[in-house]
This record gives sequence, structure tokens and C-alpha cells, in this order.
Amino acid sequence: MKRSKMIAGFLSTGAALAVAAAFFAVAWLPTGAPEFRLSLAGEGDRSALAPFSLHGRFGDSSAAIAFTLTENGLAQRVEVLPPTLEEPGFVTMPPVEYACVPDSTEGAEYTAELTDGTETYHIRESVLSESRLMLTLEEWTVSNGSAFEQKILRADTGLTCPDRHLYWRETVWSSDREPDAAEIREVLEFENVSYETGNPPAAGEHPLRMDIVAKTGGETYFVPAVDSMWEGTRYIYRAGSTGTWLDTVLLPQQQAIGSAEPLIEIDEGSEMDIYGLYATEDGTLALFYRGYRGMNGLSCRLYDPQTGEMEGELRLISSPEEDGASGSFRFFPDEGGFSAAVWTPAGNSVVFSVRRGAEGWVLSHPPREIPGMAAALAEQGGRLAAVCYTDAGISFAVCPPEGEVLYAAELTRPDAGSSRTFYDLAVQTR
Amino acid sequence: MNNKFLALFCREFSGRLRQIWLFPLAAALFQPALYWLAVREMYESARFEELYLSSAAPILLAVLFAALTGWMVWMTVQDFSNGSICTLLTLPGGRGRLWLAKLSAFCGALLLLWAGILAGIGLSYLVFSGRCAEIARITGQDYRLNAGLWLGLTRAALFRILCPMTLPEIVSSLLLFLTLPLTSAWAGWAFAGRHYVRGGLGSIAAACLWALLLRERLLYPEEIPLPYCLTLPMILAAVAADSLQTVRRADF
Repeated sequence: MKRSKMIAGFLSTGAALAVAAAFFAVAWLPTGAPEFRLSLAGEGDRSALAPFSLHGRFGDSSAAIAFTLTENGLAQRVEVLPPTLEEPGFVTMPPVEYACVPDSTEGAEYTAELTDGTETYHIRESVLSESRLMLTLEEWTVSNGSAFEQKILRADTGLTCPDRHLYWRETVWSSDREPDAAEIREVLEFENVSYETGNPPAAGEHPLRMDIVAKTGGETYFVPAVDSMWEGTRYIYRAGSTGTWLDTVLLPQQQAIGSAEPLIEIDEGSEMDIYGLYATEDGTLALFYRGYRGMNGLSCRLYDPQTGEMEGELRLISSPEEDGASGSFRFFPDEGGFSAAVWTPAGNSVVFSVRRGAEGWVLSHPPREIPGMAAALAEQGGRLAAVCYTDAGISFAVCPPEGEVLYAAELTRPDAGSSRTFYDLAVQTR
Repeated sequence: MNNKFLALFCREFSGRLRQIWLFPLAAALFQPALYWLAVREMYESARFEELYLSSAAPILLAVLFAALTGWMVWMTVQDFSNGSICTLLTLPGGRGRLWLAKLSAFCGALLLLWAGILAGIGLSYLVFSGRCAEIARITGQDYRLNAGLWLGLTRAALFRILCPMTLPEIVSSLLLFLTLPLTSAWAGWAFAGRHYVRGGLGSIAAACLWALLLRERLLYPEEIPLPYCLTLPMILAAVAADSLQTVRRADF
């Protein structure tokens, strides 16, 4: 073996290793550059951060900058995550559906008309009726990415709308003879109902949107989000048995599916716009509503689902519209209570904290409007720490119950691709 | 031992450097060429890794790996058929070393190909950056990103196999890479010794597992497929043990 050949072999191996090392160095080095780092601009006393720490990630599903902001400053490191390939998402039905159905079929008219130029009949059932609110909850169980089971609960809320409306259902009947009333009724039994005159006040369409279903202690509770136009007693319901979607798909809309137990009667319920229900960590149900008498403005009632007793009532915002609060609620549970934020159309958030104190439930941090859309909140000793999405990145603020913000900071993102975002944002207390 | 092993290794590796170098050179030069064909149609913002995957470069990689594996099997078989190895095998205790030297040489060839592929990806990124700069000059909009190559590498499943970034990925990529020389050296040896059934079944089993592992890594990059990562080393251990046993018995 010639010596030069041996050297060539070693040189080749060395060159290969050098190329690989250089490649990795070229790929990784820019991740340490300032342009790839989040920058922090803070105002105020950083020691006010002491009980809080902010955690989060900036990036996408394959790589991210993980960061932590504490009183000691901002720490960040580059994280490589396993890449997730985009899969076609499921088209899911809305989990909650309101349906106004004719209350009674008295005075129904059955008509059959020959369709122009064909041997078919256009048949129609028309009913002048009160509308009745049926509330449908759907639960999808997705396992192994594809198989799913859909459970359905349809509750008759007993709430009616006083205005009378004309409802009809219609279809085309292929027959060489005119059907009689019984046949029309039978054929149309499973058709959807449409209404014609005067829209009944739609349920669940408030400027403030929140979930009407709350789960705690293995039970599911729900409340119809209706305004004061609806007549009847409002209840907080406990979901009992449910039906399977496939078995119940052909049941008419007037028919209840499964069972829902009216658990808590809401006092003066007909004088409020009910927004929704939230369950705290200790299993208390918080009902959010807008009242017109007494507790007017956005308020919250706290119920014990075991006894059905009201444990507290808190007034949050005097007038939701005037305060610009017409977005959606976001809740952040913690020990002994919860913090919540209402996103406003202007891109701000109204934040507050509710806590169980020695004298019952209290507003431990009164509502305060902060810029940005709140992504995470935490409350400690009356101080509320909030992290919000802004145009430039995220903002972090520590607010006392009253007065000036103690500490405010802006975390500005590096310009590293439009698909990269902040996520997993969490404020922790120590 | 060392000198004898070194001499054998040099015969297997350094003696065939001209053939071996063809693979990394092809990878380093043809990849950017194929990438350029894909990128010249780009007139707006696009991602490096998406353009790479839509170009013919991944097919080139498959061809190069297949060719290298074929070359490794061929080299083993040829050594036996032309009798040049018989002289070496008459040396006492030289058989085990010969197998190890062959394996090491094949690993060296694979290392060279891997470096060539990485160089090709790097050059492709240069092509991409050049095109981005050109588009930026025409449209006045800059689409280049900070740490763009790194972001591209982290986002594509194929890149995560070629340049693994986390420890489980490194282990499973190493498995994928090492299967090629180990099985090739063994299969060539078995075929040369006319153990067609053993060699055939063993290499088919290893190839199937290898393909399954590669498929899992490409289709589901978010998780490392543990069953394959555990069974493939077992097959490789059996292959290695059988090779050493054959070498000791010298029953060909």
C-alpha cells in the first residue's frame, strides 16, 4: 500500500467530518445571533415581578425559542421540537346548538300542489305557533386520530317566545295522486322546520360570548344563554344520559334526547341576559349574566352544584357595552378562585380576579382594562400579572388593585418568519 | 493487529477512493443543480425545505443510497469471485479483521456520501438565498429569514433524518445509516459463500425493517417508532454475529 494512498484515505475521512461539522455550524450559528433572540423592553420596578414568572415559546411546531421572564431578567434558549406534519383537520359541528321549534301543531295546515310541468307534488305543513327553545349539546370523542363517537343531548328548556310565528316544512312528493293530511304529516315528520314571520330572538347571540357548558366533578352542567325576551324559568341543568348521534339522527327536532336535570333555578332569571357558565377548580359554578335590576351590568353568581345554593354574587362591570366589553371570555383557574379576561373588539382586555375569601366570594382584583388580548393571567396577593398579545409581540404587566401599573414589559419577536408565533404562554406564581 | 488491520482497511477504503468519491461529488453537485431547476420558477415567498422536497433532489438521494448499497454488495461479492481475497485470508487470524476492515471501509464510504449530501443541501441553500436576493431586488420585499437554513432543517422530516437534532433522532438515524454497510457486507459475504437462503432471508428482513423505520420517520416525524428501533438492532446484531462466525469458520 502506497503511503500517499493511505494519506488520501485519512484526508478524505477528515474532509468528510470537516464538511459535516461546518454544515452544522453554519446551520446553528445564526440561532445564537441577536436577530434570532427575543428582545425585552421593560418599564417600572422589576422587583414587582417577584411572585410571578412568565413562561412561553416563540416559534412553530418544529423549532422554538423557549423563554422565561422573572425578576432576574429574560432567559431564552433555542428548542428543537419534532416536526408535526399538517393533517387535514376535522370538520366539527358546533358543540352547542339552539333550535326554536313550534311548540304545538294545533291549527296546522297541510297543502299539496302539483309542481309545474312534472308529476310530483309540492307538499307543505304550516303551523302558527309559539317558539320553544331546544338546546342541543354534542360531544365528540376522537381517538386514534380518526375513529370518533358522537354523543348528543337535546334538552327541552321550556322557554318560550311570546310572539307567534309561522313555521313550515316542505318537500317534494313523487306520487301520481294527491296525498292526504295524514300522509303529508308522516312524510314531513323528519324535515327541518323553517320559520317565516318575525324572527324570534335568537338565543346565545350576545355581544359577550362564553361557553354555556361547564364540567366539574365528573358532571356536565349547562345553562341556556338567553336574554330577557324569553319567557319561562331559567335553570342550570345537569346533563344526565345522552344519545348516540347515529341512533338519534332521524328523531324530530321537538323530541328531547337523553336526560337533563334542572338543577338550580336561577332567581330573577327572566330579568337577565345569561352569558354562560364556568366551573372553578373547587367545583363551584360561576354564572355570568347581565342584569337590569339590582345587579345591573356584567355580574357573576356563584353556585354550589351539590346543594344548589348561591354562594355569592359579584358585580363586575357596570355596563358591558359602555366599557367596550363585547368580545369573548377567557378563564384562568388558580387555587381558591379564578382570573378572567374579556377580549374587546378594540384589541384590549378587561381583566379581573375572583377568589373565595373568609367572608365568601370577593373580587380580589377589580376589573381593569389593559392593552392587548390577554393570553394568560395569574393573581397573587391582589396583584394581577397578565400577558397579552400585541402587534409587536407580547406585553407583560403586573397590576395592583388600584393605581398605576407596577411593571410593564414588551417582548418583541425577532423577524424570523411569519408562521412563527407565541404559544404555551403561562404566568406562574411562586 | 493494528498494522494488519490498517493495511486491510487501506486496501478496502483508500484503494477504492476514486470510486467512493463519485458518490459525495454527485450528491454535492447534482443536488444544487436539481434544486436550481425547482427554484428558478420561484417568483414569490417560498420555504427552502418545501422547494427542496418538491425538487428532484430527494430522488437523487434515494438513487445514491441505493447505488452505494449495491456497490458495497458488489465489492464484497467480487472480492471472492476474482480470488484476490484468498491470499489475504490465508493469513492466520486475518479473517475477522478483514470483515471489520470491510465494514469500516463501507462506513467510511457512507460518511463521505453523508458529508456530500450535507454539502449539497448547504449549496442548495446558497442557490435559494441567491434567488431570494434576486426577488428582493426586483420586488423590493425581502423574504430571507434569520437562521433560515436552520429553520428549514428543523421543519422537514427528510432533513431531520439526514441531520438529526435530538438524541432519539440521532439514534434512529444512526440505525438507518449503519444498517446499510453492516447488512451489505454480510449479504455479500453470505452470497459469496453460496449461503443464498440465509443471505437472502437476512437481507430481506433487514431491508423490510429498514424501509418501515424510514417510512415511519418520514410520515410521523413527531415520534420515534420504538418497535422498529428495537428490532432492527437485533437483526443487525444477528447479522454481525453470523458474519464473525462465518469469518472464524471460513466455510466458503
